[in-house]
Amino acid sequence: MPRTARHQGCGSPEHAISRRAFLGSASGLLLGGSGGLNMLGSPLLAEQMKRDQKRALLIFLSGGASQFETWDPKPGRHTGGPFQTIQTSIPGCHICELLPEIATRVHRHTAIIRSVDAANTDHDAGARVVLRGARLGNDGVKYPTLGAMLARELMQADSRVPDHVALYTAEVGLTINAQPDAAGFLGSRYDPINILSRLAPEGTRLPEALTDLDHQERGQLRDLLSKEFLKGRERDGTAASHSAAYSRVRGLMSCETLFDISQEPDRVRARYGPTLFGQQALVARRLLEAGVPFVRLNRGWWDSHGENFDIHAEMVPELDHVMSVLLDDLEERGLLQNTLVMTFSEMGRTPDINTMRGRDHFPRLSATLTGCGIRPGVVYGKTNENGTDIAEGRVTVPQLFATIFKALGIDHQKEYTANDGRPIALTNAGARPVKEVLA
Amino acid sequence: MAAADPNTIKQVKTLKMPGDLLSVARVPGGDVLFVGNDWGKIYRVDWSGDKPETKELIGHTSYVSGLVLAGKHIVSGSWDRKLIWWDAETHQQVRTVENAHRKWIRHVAVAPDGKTVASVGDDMVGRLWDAVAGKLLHELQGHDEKTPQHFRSKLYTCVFSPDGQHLATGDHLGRILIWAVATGKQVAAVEAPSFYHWDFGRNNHSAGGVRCLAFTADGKRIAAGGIENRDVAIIQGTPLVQVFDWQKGQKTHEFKVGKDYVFESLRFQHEGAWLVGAGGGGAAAPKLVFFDLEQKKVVVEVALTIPLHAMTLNETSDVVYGAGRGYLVRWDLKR
Amino acid sequence: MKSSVCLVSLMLASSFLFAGAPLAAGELLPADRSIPEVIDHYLDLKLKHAGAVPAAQADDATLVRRLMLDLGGRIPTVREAKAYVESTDPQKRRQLAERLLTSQEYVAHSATEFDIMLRAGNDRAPSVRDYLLVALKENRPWDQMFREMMGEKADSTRPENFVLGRLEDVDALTREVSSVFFGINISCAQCHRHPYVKSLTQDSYFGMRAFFSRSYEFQGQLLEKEFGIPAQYKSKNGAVREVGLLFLTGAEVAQPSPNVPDLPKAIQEENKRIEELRKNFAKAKELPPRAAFGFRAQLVDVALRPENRELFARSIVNRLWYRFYGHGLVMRVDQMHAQNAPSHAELLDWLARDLISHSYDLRRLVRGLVDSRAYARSSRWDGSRPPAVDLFAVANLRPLTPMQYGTSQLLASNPDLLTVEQSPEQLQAQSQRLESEAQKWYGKFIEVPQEGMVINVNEALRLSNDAAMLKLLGEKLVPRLMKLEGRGQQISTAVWTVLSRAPTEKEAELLSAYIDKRQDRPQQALQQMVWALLNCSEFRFNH
Repeated sequence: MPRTARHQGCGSPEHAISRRAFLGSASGLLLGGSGGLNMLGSPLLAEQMKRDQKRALLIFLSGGASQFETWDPKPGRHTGGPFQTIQTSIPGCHICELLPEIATRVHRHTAIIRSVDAANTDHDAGARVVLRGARLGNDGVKYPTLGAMLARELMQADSRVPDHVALYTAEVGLTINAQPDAAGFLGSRYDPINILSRLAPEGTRLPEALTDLDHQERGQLRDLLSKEFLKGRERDGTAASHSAAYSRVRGLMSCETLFDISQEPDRVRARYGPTLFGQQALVARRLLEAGVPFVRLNRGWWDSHGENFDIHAEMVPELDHVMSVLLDDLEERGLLQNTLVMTFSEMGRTPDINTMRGRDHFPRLSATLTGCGIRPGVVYGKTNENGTDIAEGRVTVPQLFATIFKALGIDHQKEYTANDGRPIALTNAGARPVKEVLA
Repeated sequence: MAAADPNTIKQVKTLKMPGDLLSVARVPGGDVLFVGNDWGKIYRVDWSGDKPETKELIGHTSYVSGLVLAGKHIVSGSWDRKLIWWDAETHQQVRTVENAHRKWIRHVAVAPDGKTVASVGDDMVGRLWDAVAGKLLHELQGHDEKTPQHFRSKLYTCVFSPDGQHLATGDHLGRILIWAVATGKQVAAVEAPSFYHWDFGRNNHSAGGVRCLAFTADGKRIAAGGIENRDVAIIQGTPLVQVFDWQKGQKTHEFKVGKDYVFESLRFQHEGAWLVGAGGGGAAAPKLVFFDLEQKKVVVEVALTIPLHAMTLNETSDVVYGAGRGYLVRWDLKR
Repeated sequence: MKSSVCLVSLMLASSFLFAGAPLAAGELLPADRSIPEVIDHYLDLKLKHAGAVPAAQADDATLVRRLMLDLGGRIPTVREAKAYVESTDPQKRRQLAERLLTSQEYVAHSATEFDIMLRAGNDRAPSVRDYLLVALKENRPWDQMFREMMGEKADSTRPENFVLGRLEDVDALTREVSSVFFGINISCAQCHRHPYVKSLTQDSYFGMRAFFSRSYEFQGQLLEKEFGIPAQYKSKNGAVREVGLLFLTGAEVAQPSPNVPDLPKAIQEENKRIEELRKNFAKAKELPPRAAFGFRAQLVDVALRPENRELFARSIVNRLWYRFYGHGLVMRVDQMHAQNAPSHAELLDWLARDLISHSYDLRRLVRGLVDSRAYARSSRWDGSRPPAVDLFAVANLRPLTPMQYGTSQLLASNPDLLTVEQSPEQLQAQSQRLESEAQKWYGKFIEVPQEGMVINVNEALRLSNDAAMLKLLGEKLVPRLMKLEGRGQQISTAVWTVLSRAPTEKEAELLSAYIDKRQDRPQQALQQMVWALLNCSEFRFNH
């Protein structure tokens, strides 16, 4: 029986097509096609889905990118470093000269926040703060990450694609990157598919030694054996997650083409460039386009205790280019209005420049929000002259989260039930969205 | 006359200065120096009397990374992409070349006769300039703009040979190119890949580079300094000096001294008796190190309390001037 | 390298309340009772209060697998499992535990487990496994091991690497020592007072950090300087505070005042002297003098003093309890502070007292932990709603560690690796080979278990589809099954080899039908069956 779509479109009858109906009519699509919405039989359906489903992409600059060398430069100050600034397309707004491409685009869909307070200077703890809304879990609650919450809120109940994918440029599975237990009490369905230093999860291809049917039945045999064992034993999330992991194998194999950028025209691949981050960004775009509600694209490691300026001279232009191409591409495909693209780090970097020409850990940082629900061209918050503290418009992490939820049309005060039965709101009590950056 | 003996080195004075000193040029015949810092300032320091006298030269807006005395002029280069000619006596700006490079200028060198000035920058081009007229003589194009991993490369340093016929330029990937100054043509290339480190899997960015160069007195060999990097987030690794017969492209010497700092300047004793390298930033305390090429050994290591970003010698190579974080330092050597 | 800027404004507290309730010896069961007896006494007491009935005892096949995994680090071979199940000796459980506790496999497995524990989830932390192999083989007392890892004296097995390998990040060293040895994670207090534990102030953090402030590396050796400036930090209100040597219980360690007229000069001279010795070391081989007053030695002394040592004892008891029971008496194991009460306070106190009075004998403690009725309970709960996890009424499923999982899958895939015909030396060599193969194949993608662990889909994908992995799974077992006569034999052998028990009737039917359906490809049929057994939930856990 067809149901109404979760997110209503314009409300006209031809758009009231359920996602299930769509999947039913296009179920072979993900197996064979070149993936994504281009291949949908009906352009109307594709359009419908594009309009309806909201999505989010977090470009996480792990290790702590410098706010000075990106969004909040301090030219001519002793804390400013060697780089010059450039005028952006927002009148009066200058950013670091390392971001020339994004500088011409910020007015279109982007808000810059220069006053985020992470209140933390440690990578792991900082990642807990900025990825879990400053909820450290010392109270025994297994708090979900922003990504898991967005996956939960934006997912389609009968989706054939993963709900949460995290791509990372490094292969080191640091907790900050791989985020074990990202879903917390939401359950492992919302845990990310982690892809480290590659473009696709390992093992999504049918092994040569098996026919597809044997592969399927072998899995069913495993399930039956496990089911018998788990009777009276499935008391915690770990046992459930083991079953859940195997149950997702075939679904992911059917999505394999989503991760395959060789299916993109050369022109598109050339645009994203040859670096791993650029290629992963293209994978991210394919995933978003196919309806994956939350993708985390991790670029690291920005931890520039030494040679801060050389490191940023190398890494920021790549960010500039990849982010610009990604935003353009999403816009051209009509996806940006329903996709929120966020950039931030677990912390910022110090105003002081150390003896290694480096910058150390600093609790203040800048963030950007682009696309869905965002008022374009806003620069919110200020740091002081030397960037040593926030001067105006402090944004705490719970406020940032509330803003993100609001931009995506999600009630940030909505309550979940935690593992211990407690009601837990999406963001900490009292956190209000920053309305100035919202459309 | 015997060459000054590094074993007799003694620190004789220090002078506290604002900012990080990144470049230094000495006026022949005395204790007068010009230094450039990370705040875009140049200072003339008369250090001969009991009380040092300093004068400020204002013109740059970013790191003054190169500074030379060329005839009657001081020529300075900066991360603001400008080259400025100053009158060495009056300190007035004589000429400003805006956008002398399309990216940050990393170093400036002067030919021994003072007639030609070279500059290098992250546009990966070396430029030769008429020191008097300020005219661009040659553009030296040959360094790769991108690293093998498709990131922008960097061109850190340059130096003239003692006879003024050649210029050497050194980049991020450890490539050293030798150019004929008269024609601007590349005449040789030396590969020193130990200076480049691409960290895949953890940091996903690179570190390293040939940070400083010096020709031997006979001009036949070139010494390169930097670090063999281990951790690209913190400057950790083995400080490295390699010497090459650049005509044959062969490595003749390798020195690894201490750990966790970068050699940022190298100078040969004017007759070639020894080579001195100054350590700059790093996770550990840097050193000033004297090398004997003939014996292939380190003669003396001096522990430094600040990183040195630039260094120069006097005419007789018995005085060493170091410029670094917040200080100028002078050492004397005995003959 | 870490900046400690923190601007949350909170008052500094001055009192310390870590130790929890003091040991009230009079209220505890007498010291001469056995460990298992005491465990069961206290657990039963609480179960009674809660009106809960515990699960039945696990069957023999489950128990031999559980003991082998816990004490030997791998599943039993078929021969070992059957021998145990078939034995009618009433002492067989204790005998098996005893045999394992004195085996080399126990030493190797414990070393792996302790090494993981000591690394505290820090992927940059050094391994001290070489040391652990020697120390655990000799069953060195835990307090002595602590002394050695704090670098009491140099040793060829390098216990001091625990500290040496962390000197580049003294903050991590401080955090991890506090967490691993004393059960208290003080990282919050680096920047501000702990939000929940009032007694944890920035002083606690920097006071602990001060114990490592003089440590430095010299030619690969861990030394300490004689002179140094007092530890200082910038508190949240911006004021600079000085702090001395301060243990987590609030115990202060007095330092002799530096007997020099000019301290900065003395510091400078000492540094200069060290630099000179470093430079001339190749020739002179001379070490800098030992500091007369060692800060790390002071940490060991103050931590092990009778009035403070409960923290140390309770932490290791709780961590070992967590390892063998799948849930700590205090959860989390690094949050053992007064605001986080143990589920069985008397039991924890008794076990800590027992450990102290038996010279921190770890093997004795482990022997006791695995000998209780509670340890041997079934993991299956057939009632409606399972009792709370901290009642320990039913055994927990514990995900295997990468090493347990790896060695077990490899052993099941190649059942002749360990046989009784081998000499002890051959056995040891084979075990080592198994370990290194397991590390190679499984070390990277099987995650180290942690509280609330989620098994990621990447693991299932790799095990399901990776060609090399599939070749490995059942590599020697399948050809052996092929040679067996009769389907029943094949199924029975496969289930015994992988799951260490006989197949149930239902399973036998299920597996038989699966093979029947593939008569045209019998080897593939067996291969797939073995894969399903090796990948089922029962194999993934110590149940």
